[in-house]
Amino acid sequence: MNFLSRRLIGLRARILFTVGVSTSIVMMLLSWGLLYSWRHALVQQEIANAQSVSRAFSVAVVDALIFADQDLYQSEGFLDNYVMMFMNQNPRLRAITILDEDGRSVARSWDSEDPPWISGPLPTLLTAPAPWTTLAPRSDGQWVLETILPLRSGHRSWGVLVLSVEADSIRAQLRRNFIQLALFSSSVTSVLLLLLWLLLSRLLGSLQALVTAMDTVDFHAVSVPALPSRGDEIGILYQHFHRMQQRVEQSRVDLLSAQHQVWHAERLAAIGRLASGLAHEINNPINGVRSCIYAIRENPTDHEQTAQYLDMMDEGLTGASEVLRKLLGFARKQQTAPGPLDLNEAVQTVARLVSFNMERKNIALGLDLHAELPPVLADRQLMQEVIMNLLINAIDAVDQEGCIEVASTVSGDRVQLTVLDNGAGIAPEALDRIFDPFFTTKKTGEGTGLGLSICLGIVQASGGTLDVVSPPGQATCFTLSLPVLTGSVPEGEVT
Amino acid sequence: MNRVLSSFLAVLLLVLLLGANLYVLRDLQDIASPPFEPAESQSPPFETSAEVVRIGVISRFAPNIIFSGYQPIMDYLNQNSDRTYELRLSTSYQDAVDQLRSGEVAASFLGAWIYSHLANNEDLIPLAAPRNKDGQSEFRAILVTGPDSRITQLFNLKGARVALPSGQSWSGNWLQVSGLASVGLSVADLDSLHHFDHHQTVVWQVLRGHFDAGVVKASVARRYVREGLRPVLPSPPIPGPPLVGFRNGDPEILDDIRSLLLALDPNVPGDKVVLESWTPEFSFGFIPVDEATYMEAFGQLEAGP
Repeated sequence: MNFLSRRLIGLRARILFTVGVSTSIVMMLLSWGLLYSWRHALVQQEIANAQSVSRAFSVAVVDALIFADQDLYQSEGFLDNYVMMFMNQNPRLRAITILDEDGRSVARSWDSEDPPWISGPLPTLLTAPAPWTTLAPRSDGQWVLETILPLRSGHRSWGVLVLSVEADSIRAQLRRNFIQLALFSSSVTSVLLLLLWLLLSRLLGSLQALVTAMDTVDFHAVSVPALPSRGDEIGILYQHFHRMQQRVEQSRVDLLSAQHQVWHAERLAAIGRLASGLAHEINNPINGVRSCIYAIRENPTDHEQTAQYLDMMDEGLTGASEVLRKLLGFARKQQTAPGPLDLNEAVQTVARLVSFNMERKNIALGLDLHAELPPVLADRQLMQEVIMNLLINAIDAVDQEGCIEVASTVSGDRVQLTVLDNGAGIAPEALDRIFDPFFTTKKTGEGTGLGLSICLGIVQASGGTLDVVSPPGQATCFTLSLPVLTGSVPEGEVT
Repeated sequence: MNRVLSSFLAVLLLVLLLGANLYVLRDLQDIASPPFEPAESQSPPFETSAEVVRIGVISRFAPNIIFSGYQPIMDYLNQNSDRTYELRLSTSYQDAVDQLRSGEVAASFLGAWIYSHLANNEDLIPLAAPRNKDGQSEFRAILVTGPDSRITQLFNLKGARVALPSGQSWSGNWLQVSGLASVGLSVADLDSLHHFDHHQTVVWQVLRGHFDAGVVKASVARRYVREGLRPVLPSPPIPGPPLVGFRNGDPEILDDIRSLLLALDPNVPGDKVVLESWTPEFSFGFIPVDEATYMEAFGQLEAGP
């Protein structure tokens, strides 16, 4: 499982956990609210039921008490029997106690307990406007709902009826409700999480496909492969990524085109800088030719002299032609391609080209080239431009009768080429920016400021490095490092 | 470290949720209410007195109905008198008269018929009678039937089973005295005629279909219309049922009772509140009555048209 997959799973786990916990909390709060509402309703319903039963039961009790009070009926044992029959017909009843207006027990079920408030004179409950209900556990731990109902006619009190109903069933009902709601909440949360998991799997799968596509995209490819089309936001993301790929590809093409144009311009600029030396090199044979022509005209009959001068004229024109051929060969815009390159040979080619400039300033060029320098993989034309740029910069930096040393070495699996001059060096504040595009220390019109920036780009494109060391007021040393070409190189391909 | 902290917080959260649920489950089952704690003392609505005066009621209703209807009157007397008044029930109409004459009760709520037809009733004094909304003391019996009865007038009673209250009440005698005769019928034309002790009993018998028709007090008939009782025809008016005192009784007590009851004026807001808490029969208070009113009214009825 790769890093990306682990991150996506972690994201999915976090979302599932957060949503799961949030849903659970919301469901719990709702469930608690419902449960407490149900408890209130259930208890109130039970109280209302108990009071209704008490009131219904009390009608006959009041009749019996009135009959007894008025001596209208022999009521001995009537209430006790009534209590027993009523208890037998109502299994939820736990106890019935009937007290007269003096607090004496008139009738009661067998397991009735004297209410704790029955002590001393009968309380003023006898004049209370409504029945009183209490919910509490008895001494045996059983919960009972006790209704205390004053028995009255107007202000005439006949006593009190205490009727106890078992209340454990209320608590059992509440427990059942709690469990049912807990199961319901768990089910809802589970279904929600399952749906969310499926959705996240689909969503994160799409994202993972996009990330994979981003990782594997080849910016050097001619065409950019499209991601599968989708009708949702992920599809829109795919489309935008594809468009970005296309824009990046177009930018890369535009950049390469611009780079070629800049390189060509820089090459022409370098030719311009060579022009003065070249002009001198061409002028000399031309002047020689003109002198020969003049001598031939002065003495046209001297055929031996004429033949000798013609040979000299041919030699001079051949030399001038060679110089121009080399210049054209350098300036011509060629299709470039990397290939095995002998760096020593490139150095010697460029050295010959700039020799005229160095002779004008009496600069001594020392070449210390490694005899068995391995080839590197680079474009010969571009690499010659790099060396040309470094040498011309060195010539510009060195005063009359200065010295430039070029050396090639092998260091491990890399070939190094150093260009050392004994010029004035580079100021420290300029050293950090020397490879920046358009940075130049020359006067306006003498340089584009792109030379070293282009050189760095060429070297890096070939997998190499270009560094500079320049102690202030002393020499400047550029070091070009390229990896040695590995593998067999076909005979004759090394240029 | 982050992962460990996250895991710890997640576990802590789950434990907290579980603990909260257990707490709720426990709290949910705690349905205990505050224990009953009666007040140490509460002032009774009136001061009780050692002098107990009993007032009788003829047994026209079941005892609990009599108490619910007449006890508020006792409460009013107790609140406004130095004496303690108590209801005394009777087993029959005659028993109520005997209680009065024996001095067991100082006064008694009798019926108009029994008062008017007592032999030698010179020893009894009518103190007051219920007032209706027109300010008169007037009482009517009503012929009632069940909801689906074919009886719509007195003449339809031919061959009917008729339930009546006590034979010593106007409701129990109207048909025999003048009602049937007014449409050319007699008791012999009925299928049967039966007296019950209480007016409510007559209502139940008619509503259950045991009898085709019955006669009860108008105030009782109104109370059971919602249960399907259908009033058919009222009797001619007679003076309302009087509260009667024993002539040889304590005049101060009789005067106390009469003055307190006659003092209630339904047009006085305070009195109106008291009267509205009473049964509808007494909700307009009382007016004074005399013996001659009753004798004259029944004399005319029994003389016939």
